[in-house]
Amino acid sequence: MIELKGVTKRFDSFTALDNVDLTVETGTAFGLLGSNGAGKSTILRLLSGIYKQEGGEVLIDGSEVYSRPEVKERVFFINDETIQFGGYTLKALKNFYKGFYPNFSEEIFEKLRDTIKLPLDKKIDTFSKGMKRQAIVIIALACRTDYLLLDEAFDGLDPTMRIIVKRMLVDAMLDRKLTTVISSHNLKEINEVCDSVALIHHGKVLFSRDLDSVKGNIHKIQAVFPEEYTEKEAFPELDVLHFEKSKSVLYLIVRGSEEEIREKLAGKNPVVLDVIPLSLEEIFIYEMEGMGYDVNGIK
Amino acid sequence: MMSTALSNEKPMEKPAKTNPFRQNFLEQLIRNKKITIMIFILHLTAAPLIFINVIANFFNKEYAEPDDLMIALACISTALAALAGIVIAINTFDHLCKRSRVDMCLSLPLSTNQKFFSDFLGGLAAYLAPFFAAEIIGLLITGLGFILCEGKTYVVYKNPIEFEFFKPIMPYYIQLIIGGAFIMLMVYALTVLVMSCCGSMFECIFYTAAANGIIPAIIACFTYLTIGDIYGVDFENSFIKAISTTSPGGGVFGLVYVFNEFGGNEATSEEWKEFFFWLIPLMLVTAVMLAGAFLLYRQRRAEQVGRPFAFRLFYHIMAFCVIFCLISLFDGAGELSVGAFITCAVIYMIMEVVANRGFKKIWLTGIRFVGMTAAVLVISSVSDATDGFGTLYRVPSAGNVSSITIDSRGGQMEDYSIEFTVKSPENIQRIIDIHKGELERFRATDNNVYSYDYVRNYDYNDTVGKITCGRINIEYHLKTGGKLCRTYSICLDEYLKLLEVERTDEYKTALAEFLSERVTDQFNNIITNSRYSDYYKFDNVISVTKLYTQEKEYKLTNVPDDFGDKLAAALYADIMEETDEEFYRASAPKFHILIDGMEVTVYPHYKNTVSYLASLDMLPETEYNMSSLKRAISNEEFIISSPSDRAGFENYTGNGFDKYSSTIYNSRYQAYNSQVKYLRSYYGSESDTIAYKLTILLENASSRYITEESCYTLNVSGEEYVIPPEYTELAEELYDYCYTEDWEQ
Repeated sequence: MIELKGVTKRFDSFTALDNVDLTVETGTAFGLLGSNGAGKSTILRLLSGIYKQEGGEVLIDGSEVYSRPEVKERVFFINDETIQFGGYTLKALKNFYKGFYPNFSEEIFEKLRDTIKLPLDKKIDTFSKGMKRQAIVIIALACRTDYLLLDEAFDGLDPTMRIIVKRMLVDAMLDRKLTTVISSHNLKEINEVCDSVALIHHGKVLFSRDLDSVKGNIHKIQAVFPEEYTEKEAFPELDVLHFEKSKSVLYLIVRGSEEEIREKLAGKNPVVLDVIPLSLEEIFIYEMEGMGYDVNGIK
Repeated sequence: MMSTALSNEKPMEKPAKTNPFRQNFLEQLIRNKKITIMIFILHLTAAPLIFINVIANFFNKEYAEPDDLMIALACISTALAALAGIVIAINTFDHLCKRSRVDMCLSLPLSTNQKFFSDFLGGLAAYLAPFFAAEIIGLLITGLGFILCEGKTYVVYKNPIEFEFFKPIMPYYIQLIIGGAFIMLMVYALTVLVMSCCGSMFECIFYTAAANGIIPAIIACFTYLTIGDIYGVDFENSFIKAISTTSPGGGVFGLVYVFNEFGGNEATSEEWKEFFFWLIPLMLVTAVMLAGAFLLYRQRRAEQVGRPFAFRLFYHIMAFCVIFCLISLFDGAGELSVGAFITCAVIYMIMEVVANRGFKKIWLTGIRFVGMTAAVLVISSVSDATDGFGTLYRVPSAGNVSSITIDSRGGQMEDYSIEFTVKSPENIQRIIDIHKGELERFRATDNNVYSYDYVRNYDYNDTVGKITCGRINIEYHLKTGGKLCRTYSICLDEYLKLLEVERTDEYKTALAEFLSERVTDQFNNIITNSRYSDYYKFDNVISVTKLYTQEKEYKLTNVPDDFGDKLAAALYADIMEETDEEFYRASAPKFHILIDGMEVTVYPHYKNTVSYLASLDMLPETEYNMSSLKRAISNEEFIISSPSDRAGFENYTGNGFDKYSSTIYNSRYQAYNSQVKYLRSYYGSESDTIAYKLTILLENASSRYITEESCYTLNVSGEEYVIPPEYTELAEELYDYCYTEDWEQ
């Protein structure tokens, strides 16, 4: 289990993470969502022992991570760059990591490599962007760590390869209870792979819960009322993130369960009331809009 | 979602035993392998190639020395190989300055300590292994040289010379390997230290180069600023010791300096001692650099990568050193003016702009510059006010001194330039008393007299107004292993104390041994060379000469085979048996024996030597050669000074001018009102009279004479003699024949 308890991380005068609490259960896939510069990569680097927090605790199975090799050998971090691998061949890179991770499996490595047909003796900087990503992913999986941290893992992969990589991750999670933390702007993939998500904004966690409850807790309302309502303040009983009116139809984005919303709106005698679930992308956009991070808010 | 083959894998493999430390160490070796190969080739073209060149020259040519081109190539190769350590250090620790390497390196399952030491040792192995491999090959080649060449003769200018390949080279080669390895370690450690403080590649490279220059520069400037003008302190000595152990470039200088001091001869235990006296401080400084690098590395954070400096204090220290050096240089050149401060300010501004990546907080830059400049000026002022932080008046206590080496140009040491080490407590105390006496005199006199403008330690003929009897270099060897060096031009009181040292058995024994060994060795060299050389066989290689008499010359065949041994034994006995009275009144008509150019002074009271030479009929002519004497007079080789010529010196010395010795330099550097009196040549019978009277003075004047009475002095071609009081009348007669010549004031 991964736990961040009251974690604060600063870079000079800038607070990247402010009293962050997060929990990631063992064997689950956890998605980190957030705007650019929200602190997602910072969380991953704290978990992989690259950064040291100024306050709070970063725990993996109850142990601090920073400068603890016995903890770090259970964690593999794939960042969003591949330039650092350029001078290696796939074989050399494999041999490099093999020496650090005791559970490294040659068999898994060969099977995965065979699946995606990567050459062993060519320099990685001759690979395409996607191939570089594939290379490090298969090495990461071959290391058979308990925790896998991915920062923009699917970036650069073609659709087919995305499916293959996702399968690899899922297999590993099923096979040996791999715990995965994925940071990505590709909400479709997060939606497909992750069990839980957290939304980070300006170093703070807006919410952190399982995906179903995230989706079940925010809805799009299309309604027509006998009375005319022109602003969201007309609905104080609801937690309205977004209000839009088109002729007589109101479009509201509202936090809460469907039952709660219907119950609260019943008092207004809607002529038409449709409660529509939102995609993760839409949830992200409207939650951010609620924090002032929207197309109109950013100049 | 369809699973891949992973879910069908066999039961989990057992975890392998990993050693992350070893893995990272090996990784650094692999990453640096191209540079390692290059270093190996460079080292091969140094010492090993030199040895091959020597062996080849031995067989092909008429000499067994390396060609100049090979030496130049070896120097360049060695320098490049040493500098490659900087490249390896930067390559190994690039995660401190390259963002792309941070995640990959710091996410590895290594603790901070493991990461540092595995990186450090891996890079160091990549750096030093090729060096040792090349030198092992060099050692094998010296072995080959030994087998092929040792003991065989080769011909130089028709003279056969026995070739010694192994014995003279090996000690120095071993020292070169050991010293070279530690210098390279220092290069590497210093680079890692700088990298621990810097966060970008530009700063890492620039400040590594800067540190290698700034360390010796700041030491030189600080030493010069504080003790450069301190009376008695040998700035060069102090500077050399500090420089040679605190930076890689200084280390190279130190190693070359050690070789230069003793090079060309078989390395003795004394030389090995000097070598380790240089090496051990160098190792300690390197250890400090390594410790500093490690401690700073532990404080480093990944987020500091990309910034110019991880620790800003490092930059401020470097900047302060630059300002310090600049101000010291301007001060030393006497150009410390507004223009100098503006120059310093501009240079500092440039450093700030580069370090801050732009013009940021200019006002803060100005404040820092003013602060740094003020600090330098304060240090300089405090140093001046405290006489070099107490350096001027520092005299070690006798209990802390294990021995003192003195190199004096007084007393018997006039004749021979030797360094003599005293170890007896009595002599140690005497030297300390000389030191203290000189400092007390300095402290008591008006600075107008003993001002730095007039006192120059390197100028043997010292100052106007200060009567000096000789110059003494004092090197204290402290029980702590350190050294303290001073050089003074001493006055009569101290000179007399020095003569007391020369009268002790410790000194007499050392002088006697020195002289007798020299005589024996020189004579044996002639015998050895006569086997190969016609010159030594048939020419006059020994002569006995007394001033203005006929020189007697002898071939090797004219003297017995044991001439050297017997002469040495006679001199030894004479020195040991010399009484105080004979010593303090060493007579002028000494003569010299020249053995193949090596001069031995024989005084009339050297009974054993005179007796031995008499038995061989080798005593010098007693009759003066009047023609040559008259010629010398006409060449103005004689100066006679009367007591009144020195009038006025009392005011300068402060203790009257009633005591003096023959080594007073009063002829050329008299007080402003005096004139030099040359004995003038005349014609006819007057010329004969003058020459005759002169011979009496030459026979009776003393080269060493202490008296309370006023005496005339006779200067013969720069050598001073005192005319005893009983010959004053004769001296006055000759004095009347002198003409005066005004010296430029």
